[in-house]
Amino acid sequence: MINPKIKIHLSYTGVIDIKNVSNNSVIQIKAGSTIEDILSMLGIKKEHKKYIISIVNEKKQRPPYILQDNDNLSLFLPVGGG
Amino acid sequence: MKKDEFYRELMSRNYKPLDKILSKTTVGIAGCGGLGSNIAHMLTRSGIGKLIIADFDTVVMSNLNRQFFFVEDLGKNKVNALEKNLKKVNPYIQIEKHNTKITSDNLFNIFQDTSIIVEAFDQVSQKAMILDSFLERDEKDKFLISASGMGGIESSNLIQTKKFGNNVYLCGDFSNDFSLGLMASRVNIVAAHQANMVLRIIAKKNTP
Repeated sequence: MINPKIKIHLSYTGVIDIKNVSNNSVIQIKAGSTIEDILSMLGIKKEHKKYIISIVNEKKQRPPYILQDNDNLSLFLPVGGG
Repeated sequence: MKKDEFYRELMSRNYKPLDKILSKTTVGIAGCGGLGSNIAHMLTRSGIGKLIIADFDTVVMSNLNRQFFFVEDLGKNKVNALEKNLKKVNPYIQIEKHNTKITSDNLFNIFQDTSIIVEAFDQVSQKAMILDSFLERDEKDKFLISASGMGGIESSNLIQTKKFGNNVYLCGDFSNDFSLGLMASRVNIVAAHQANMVLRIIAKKNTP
């Protein structure tokens, strides 16, 4: 059986170390994937995950949020200093 | 000089559409270090009416390379020293001081009387806390202006203001952290981005 896929629009700001996925791109993911799944899939470091802020369609969502087709996912990881 | 006359003269070289608004506006500043003290300084010179400032720290020597404090302020609470310094610019500015650490529990009480909060923390955990709390609350008529990335002496042209979600703005280069050192020049550029975004929001120009 083929796993259905959905498309999401991904943008990120800050020192998020994502290899092979450019900023402001469309990525295909398995239907039913959560933000947490995407962070793992993108290889986000464990120490960064606790400070990453996730917004889906302009609204903050927590890691268990299940992404829907055509969602806009924005990630931000702040750095220290001030 | 009376208050009305003082404000009129202070703002005589200002951007005119803000003339009647600034002295009636309140802005909250979370943190009074490199960012917060300089943002407060710029907004005071702009003619803002009231600032709510919060910080639990005291002034130490290593602050003097970039923060709006002086040798005479060493050892003093930052909020008290900052109030004194701001009043040297505008004796009529109202300052509401909170000598306390900001947490997700007290954040909205401290800043309940303003629709604009400026994040001016040093620590990543504090920056993430305020962003998380603010976005979770999702109030349509409140704005948060946050900062990230101002370390070292990388190009000034890397520093920008971006919108994140509906009511959050991010200022900085988003990558160079405190480990590269914190210099007055780049910290002040980011502080100026934040202060200018405050003025833009007050003027209802909500684009970065």
